[in-house]
Amino acid sequence: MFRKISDFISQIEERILGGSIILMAVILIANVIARKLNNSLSYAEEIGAALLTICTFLGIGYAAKKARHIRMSAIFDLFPLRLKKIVTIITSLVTMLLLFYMSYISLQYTQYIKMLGKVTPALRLPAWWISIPLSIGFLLGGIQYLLNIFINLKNPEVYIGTEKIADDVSTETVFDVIEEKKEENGEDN
Amino acid sequence: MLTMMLIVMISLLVLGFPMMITMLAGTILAVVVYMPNVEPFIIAQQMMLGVQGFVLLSVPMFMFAADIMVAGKTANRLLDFVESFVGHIWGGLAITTAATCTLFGSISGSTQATVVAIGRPMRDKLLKRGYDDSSVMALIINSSDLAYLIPPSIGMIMYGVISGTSIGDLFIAGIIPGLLVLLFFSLYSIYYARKKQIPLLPKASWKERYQATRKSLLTFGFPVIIIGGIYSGFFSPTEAAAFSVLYAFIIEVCIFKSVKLKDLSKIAISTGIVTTVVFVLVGTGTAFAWVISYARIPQVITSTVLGTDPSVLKVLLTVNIAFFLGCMLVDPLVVIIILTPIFFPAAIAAGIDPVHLGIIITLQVAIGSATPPFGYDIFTACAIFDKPYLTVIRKTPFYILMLLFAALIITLVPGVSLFLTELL
Repeated sequence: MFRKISDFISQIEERILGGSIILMAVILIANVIARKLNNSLSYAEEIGAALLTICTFLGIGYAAKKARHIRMSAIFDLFPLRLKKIVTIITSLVTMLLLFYMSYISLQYTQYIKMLGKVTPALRLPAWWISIPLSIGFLLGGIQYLLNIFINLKNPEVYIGTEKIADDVSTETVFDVIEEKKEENGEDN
Repeated sequence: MLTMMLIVMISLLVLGFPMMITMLAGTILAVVVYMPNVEPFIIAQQMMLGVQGFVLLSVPMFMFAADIMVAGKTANRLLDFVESFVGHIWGGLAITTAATCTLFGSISGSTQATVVAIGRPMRDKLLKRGYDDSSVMALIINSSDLAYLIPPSIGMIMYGVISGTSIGDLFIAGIIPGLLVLLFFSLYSIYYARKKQIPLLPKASWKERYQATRKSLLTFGFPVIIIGGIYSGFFSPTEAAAFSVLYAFIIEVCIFKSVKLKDLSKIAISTGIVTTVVFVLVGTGTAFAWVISYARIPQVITSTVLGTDPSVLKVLLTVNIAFFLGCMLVDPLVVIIILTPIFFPAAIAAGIDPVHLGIIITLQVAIGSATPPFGYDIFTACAIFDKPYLTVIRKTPFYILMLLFAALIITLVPGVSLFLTELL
């Protein structure tokens, strides 16, 4: 059940992350072409900035799941297994609490801009819309660390992200996947 | 307050907390405990403002372009090209690695992408030639620093955004310092190969050279788009970044067909994760910088460290040391976000050119990203090559010395950085 919900969220997150990057590229390119035709898209900047905000904050949970957030692991790696597990649970707990707190104050911030009633300069949309990804993103991040505590309590291994076990150094990137596929197809460039 | 923040942050860092949490904890602590008249939601506001600049959009775009090129085989084509020209001399393969990192740096703005793209294919070749693993790692990690100096560079974009310096000027100014570092590395590679009697490669024929050149020729369109486009005023840096995505797409998907259309969404997701990781840090760094400037800590630091009316040399030396030490602990971008506002006013007051300062800072953070204990490239290399931390860092000290020597030259001779900008 947990797994299902978590996988479902990840799929949405993947779409959002990938989609916002591609959309960003498309809008920026379209803007240059439009400008050369004397028809600048005034909203390109606004949408671009919004996409970057979306991509930044909504990816927190996904990056946590894949344990991609930058951390200094040099000392952690020297700990014995038992200590690693205890430290990981404490880290996840504190991280979760801070992220939930951030989610709460982000919501306060959203309410504050809503109260001011500002609109964005080009599209004339309510300015508070842009700050929504913060609350949601921090919340998703917090949930991911909560799941991480459970998974560490249930399993013998040390999970630094819900999909990543410590000591398992092989970080599989998208490039490996593509590479493998190429080898399967017997392609060589 | 500062002591308390530092104690909390360093202990969290050592325990292996994600860096964003380390920074957030310090920021939240300062606001909630020491600034009762400040609304905590300011932290959220600052984090959001930190990622709002239009110029910042160029960062994910440059990363996306580089990721497309890494997934295709651009790096290998560049390697073949360089190797066909210098492969046969002493240390030829090592020079090839360093030179290709420089070329690849003109596509990608980040050192990690370069470690992945060049490090992977070159490591096997170098090992086969008889180089030992630690020196191969040291070469790869430190050569990747070159990507930070050669435009486009994410560090320069960040510095430009924070200090209001022209990113086009910074890009141009980074070229000669980058080539200077490449020269140092090449000389060392020749010396090393002679000393260790690494066997030479056969000399490539002109026909092979022609073919390698032809295959890699299209790649050289990147510097034309990026430098030429920005400098002629045709593009803003952000648009140049978006166009390098388009260019990468045309080369890899349409011409060489080394990336399939459906792989593109996977690549975009991968770029998206890196964007999250980088920009969450940019946001937290901004919030942190806001808190310390609200508490007037920068003034305290500059007046105690620099005194009143410091000499140019003293300011430059302090900047060098501060950024180098900072990068040993945290991510280079975070260091730029936090330290630039602290030192920039003092440097300008002392009469230092903002572009010159930017190049020094970029070089120092590049060195820092390959320096233990934190150096992010080291962790990238550990992960990609599946090697323990200590093997990766064993041979780095000599490279760091060379880089620091380069930093000394670049600091003392502003002309190295400013020559090209003044020429144009």
